[in-house]
Amino acid sequence: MDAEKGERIALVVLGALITAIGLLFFKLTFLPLVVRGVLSVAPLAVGLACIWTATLGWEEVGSGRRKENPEELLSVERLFLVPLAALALTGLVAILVAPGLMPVVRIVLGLSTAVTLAVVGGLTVGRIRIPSRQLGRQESTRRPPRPPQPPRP
Amino acid sequence: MSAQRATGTNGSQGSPGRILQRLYHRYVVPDFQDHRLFSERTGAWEIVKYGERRHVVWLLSETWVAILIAAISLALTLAAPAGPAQLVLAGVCLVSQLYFLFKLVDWSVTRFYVTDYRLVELGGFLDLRLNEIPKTKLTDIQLRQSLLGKLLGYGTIRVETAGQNQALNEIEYIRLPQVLNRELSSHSLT
Repeated sequence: MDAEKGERIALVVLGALITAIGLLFFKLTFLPLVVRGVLSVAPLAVGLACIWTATLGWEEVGSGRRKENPEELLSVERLFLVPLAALALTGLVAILVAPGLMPVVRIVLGLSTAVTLAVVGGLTVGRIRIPSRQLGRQESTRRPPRPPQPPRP
Repeated sequence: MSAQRATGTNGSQGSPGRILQRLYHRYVVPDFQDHRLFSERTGAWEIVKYGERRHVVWLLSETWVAILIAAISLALTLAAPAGPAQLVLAGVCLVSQLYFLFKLVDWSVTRFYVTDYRLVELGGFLDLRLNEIPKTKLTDIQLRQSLLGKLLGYGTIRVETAGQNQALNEIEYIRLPQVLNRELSSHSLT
């Protein structure tokens, strides 16, 4: 078994342990439901993130072997942006369907939330490309041969 | 070595797309191509060895308060009756959203480059931010990566030069810090 495979298995085990801790918190019935929910959500999220990173989102982060598409977001970064996009989408739907909202509030907040959703969603799916490192390589980088050095006296 | 504008290799200079691109890079987001250096000695442009943005954890650490305020004020706006209170709450939500949006775009367009001559931070949304240090002036490089940083792929690089004030002292939440460290130390410390 190579080191990378062992690392991924260890990460899955760690994620499972943290997830189990989150579930244990939820089993503490002597605590109020809100407290149990708050205590269990964070370990659950971290544990599932560990498992996801080790399986579907695995990348050679930090090793310098990730050579292709350096402009793309890391999978872990997408994982962070998805909840923000979901939050913006929920807010946009709520703004559009909520009764009793003033028209100016509905229009202005709807527009700003839609723009936020578009930018976060665009970044999440990797559609927004920004100054590329490849620009530095379009020109020829070949160095001319060095002129012959005069013989030292 | 001198800074020169790279000549375009494709497309006409006056086409509408070209003009829009130039306006975009002049007033919205800077273009790294405008800030490359040309060496008369070697007859070559600098080669970019590393080009990454900060990790998304930096974005969340900078904006989590704004996200929280925006979410709470939006919920209160939806619950408030029509009137001045709803307008004020909507205003708070709007300002928080705009702050988050500004930070988000600024994060996405700010880049850290290592070329064969220098370390460059180039970015800024609507404004321009350019910091650079020649690699030959670097005396010390420190790399710090926490357990979470190793798991998620970010770290902190601290560089020191002989001068008192330097443009780039500490780069936090940088992506692939081990690659950055390797590219910085490949020339500067030899």
